[in-house]
Amino acid sequence: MVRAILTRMRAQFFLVDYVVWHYTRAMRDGARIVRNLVWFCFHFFSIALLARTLIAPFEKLGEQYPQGFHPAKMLSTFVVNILMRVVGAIVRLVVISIGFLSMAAVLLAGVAAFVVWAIFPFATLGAGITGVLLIIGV
Amino acid sequence: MNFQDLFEQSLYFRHAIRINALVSIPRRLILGRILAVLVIIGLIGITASLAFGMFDLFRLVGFTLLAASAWLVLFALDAYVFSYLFRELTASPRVTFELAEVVLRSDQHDLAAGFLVSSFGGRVWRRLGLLPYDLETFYADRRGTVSALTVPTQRTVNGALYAKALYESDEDLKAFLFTRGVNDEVFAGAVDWVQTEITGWKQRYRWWSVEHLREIPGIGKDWSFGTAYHLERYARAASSLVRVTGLLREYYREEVDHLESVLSRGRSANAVLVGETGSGLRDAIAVFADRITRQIITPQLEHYRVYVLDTDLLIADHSSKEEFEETLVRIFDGALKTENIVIVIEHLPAFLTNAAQLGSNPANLLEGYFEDPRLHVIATSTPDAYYDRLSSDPRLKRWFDRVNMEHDDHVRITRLLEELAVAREGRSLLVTYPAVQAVYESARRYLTGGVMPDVALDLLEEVISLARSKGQDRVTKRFVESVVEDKTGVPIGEADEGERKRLLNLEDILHQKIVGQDAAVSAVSDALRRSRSGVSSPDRPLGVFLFLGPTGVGKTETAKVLADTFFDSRDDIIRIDMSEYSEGDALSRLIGNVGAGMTGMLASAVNDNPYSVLLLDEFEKTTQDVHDLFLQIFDEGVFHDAYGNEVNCRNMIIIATSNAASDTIRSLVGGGEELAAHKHDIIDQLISTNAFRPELINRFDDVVLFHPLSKEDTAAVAERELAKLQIRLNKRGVSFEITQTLVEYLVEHGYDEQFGARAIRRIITGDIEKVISHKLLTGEIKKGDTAVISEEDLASLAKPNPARVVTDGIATRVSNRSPGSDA
Repeated sequence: MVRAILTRMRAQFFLVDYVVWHYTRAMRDGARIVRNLVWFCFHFFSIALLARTLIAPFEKLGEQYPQGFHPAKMLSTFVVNILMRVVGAIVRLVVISIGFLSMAAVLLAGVAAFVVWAIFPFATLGAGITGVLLIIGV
Repeated sequence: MNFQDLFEQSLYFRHAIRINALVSIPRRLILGRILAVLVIIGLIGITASLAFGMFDLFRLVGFTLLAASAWLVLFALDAYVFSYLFRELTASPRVTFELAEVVLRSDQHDLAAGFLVSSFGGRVWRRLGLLPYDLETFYADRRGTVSALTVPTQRTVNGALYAKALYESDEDLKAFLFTRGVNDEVFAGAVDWVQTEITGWKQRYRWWSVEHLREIPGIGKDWSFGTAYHLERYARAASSLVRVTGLLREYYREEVDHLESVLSRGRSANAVLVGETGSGLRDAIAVFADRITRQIITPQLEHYRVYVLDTDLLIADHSSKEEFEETLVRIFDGALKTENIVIVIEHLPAFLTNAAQLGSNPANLLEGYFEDPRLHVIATSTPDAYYDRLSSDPRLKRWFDRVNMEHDDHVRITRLLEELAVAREGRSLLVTYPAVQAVYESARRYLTGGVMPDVALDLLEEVISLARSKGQDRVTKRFVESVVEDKTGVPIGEADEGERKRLLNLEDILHQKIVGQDAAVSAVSDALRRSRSGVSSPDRPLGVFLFLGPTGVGKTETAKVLADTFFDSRDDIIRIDMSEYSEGDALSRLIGNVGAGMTGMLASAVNDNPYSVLLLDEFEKTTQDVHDLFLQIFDEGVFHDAYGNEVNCRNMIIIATSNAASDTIRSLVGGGEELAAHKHDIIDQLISTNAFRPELINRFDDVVLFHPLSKEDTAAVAERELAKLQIRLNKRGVSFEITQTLVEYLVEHGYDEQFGARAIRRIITGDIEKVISHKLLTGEIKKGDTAVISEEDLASLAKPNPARVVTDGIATRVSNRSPGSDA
């Protein structure tokens, strides 16, 4: 019953429709956009992939182990390969961290946008009225 | 769903539609920019006021706050309208925004009027090639209106569905559009185009959608894979070669699906894309690469990179087999080690051939790589090269799965053309839907020597740039047809008043140049009218005739006149003396021979002049296999040359001549019989004497009988030839009198029942012109005089009858033969 009346009123009066839209669908759409952007950060910084391959050698760089028993050479190869993995892990960790930071930043910006959006009608109205009052010198 | 239901559902969009109608999107954009500038000016003013005390600070703050408030209101309204506009992309409303606009603007007593004044209806109207003036005519002529309609129920009803339902219910609208050349198919096509444009625009606008965001490639995707240094030197990323658009993705969906399933297998997961050059092989590969970038690919192929090998550079860079093979192995080795590479070898058969010239066989060399599950290869090939080079090698067949390119799909190509039209037209030009259709039809039917969709896309580009250079604001069907007419010389599209009259009086026009032969003239006239009115089949030649009759009675002349009338030039004629193709090598001389590196005479002649009359003299004298070749040409309008290239004869009029039943024709006419009554007997005789097989005779549109020329006909031919001489002499300032004596002389000496009226022209050039030139040189005739050939002159001319047999330009004098004698 209430729903039917509201639907009728929304179709009838723009202001009613706007206010309902502003605090329901617009906020849902906003949340969807924030979700998309957070997903984008996750995708752009390849967080899942880099975490999965955290200790893989960077761009497969490394040395082949020598054939036969050459302890010195084998050790040096081992050290080089370990270094490559360490370098790879460091680079990946840096990117993953930047990715998480951007996700957090987007989320924070999203929350802030929500707060702004919630007070948006009042702020706009307030700014308009204040503006007029200041101009006419009241 | 009826109109009332649609109306109630549309109320949901009511306010957004009103705002949009009040201030359109482009105007809101401009207004927003103005307000933003005002806010910035206000802020600068406030800063200046605080620093230097220049202005009234309070008023300035008030002004800035007011501008900011207006800007915020506009922003909120914009967000509100867009939220409704994009609703169908995020939820499932019962109707779309643009349909709601149509419905809410409609007066329930006249739904068509509401549709036509809406922005959706207006766009459809323009795409149909109609003008505002046509709308007035429609209103003025209509008798009744439609106030109810039912739209098929779907999750979301869009403008296209509604427009089609309205079209079906409104007979007046349908009838009016029909008079403007718009039928059901054209209307539906234009409506779908407008709907696709609107939906496409909405999808592109929403930059924040996941579909858009995923197109931005991420960082670190290939850090776990190696770098293929050698490959990168000789290859380029597939994604950098073609700009992949939404429609391209849709266009090549089937091929890329197939490609994906082949490449996601285990061992030997390689594919060969088989399609003609121009069928979009590279585009399909780019779409495949695009799927990987957008991560909408099977998990086995995730993170792969697609590289197109520059095989020409690779071959050109190496002079010896060893160097070439070393580089090739390095490239594949490096690619294999990275574990995420798809190598594309374009034109694999050509690459194998070029490598063979260096003494190398890449197939042997790369066997291990082709079988390795970590590396994938996509090769491309034309269908003919595939049969010649790849399918005959069982190993290559095992390593590479065939994926065919579909190249002539009406719906898919029309979509591509529409996308190109939208991309090229800009603000100052509009391409109508009938024009797009005309581009497709013309490219398929009249433009030879290319593959769809490239031929059609090139034609559209050409048409648009021509329209722009001529300052036109619309590209119409007629404009496309005129461009194609200019390119090909073939008249297409609707005939104008003058041409229509010409076609209806074709017999008279042809008779101005052809003496007698009423049956032949009316048969070819009918064929021309059929072809010009679009009634004839587009998948056959324009006309195929067998002209039967004795020598010198006008068979060749008829063919020439036909070329002149239909193709505007007597030179548009390919004449082949088939008696020269009576040996075993006849077929290969006509279609070419790969082994001998020889191109075919027929294939090259048709390719050089695809819009012409093909005259096959003495058709019965050629071999059986040549007859079989023409059986196919008469039937399908195409044949393949020895190299497998398709040769298109669909824009030709083919005339085969034969004097096989000449004796019968002569004796029938001599006996005073009506030839037409004995047509079947003559055809039976052709079959019983093995001149032609019945299936070949059946392929002709008509078998036309040419009767021997009567004395009156011969006199008419003589007069016509003398008139030509008269014109030539007039140009030199000498008049020439055509006397009855001269005409009679020509009839007596120039006509032979066996060889017809052929000798007349030769007597004129050989004897009459000799007499006149002698008189000119001796001064007997001067400028301004009238040349007359007297009886003495004629008596002094050589006595023997100069009738000669002419075969391919070699004239052979035949001994004294009086008219009436038979050979």
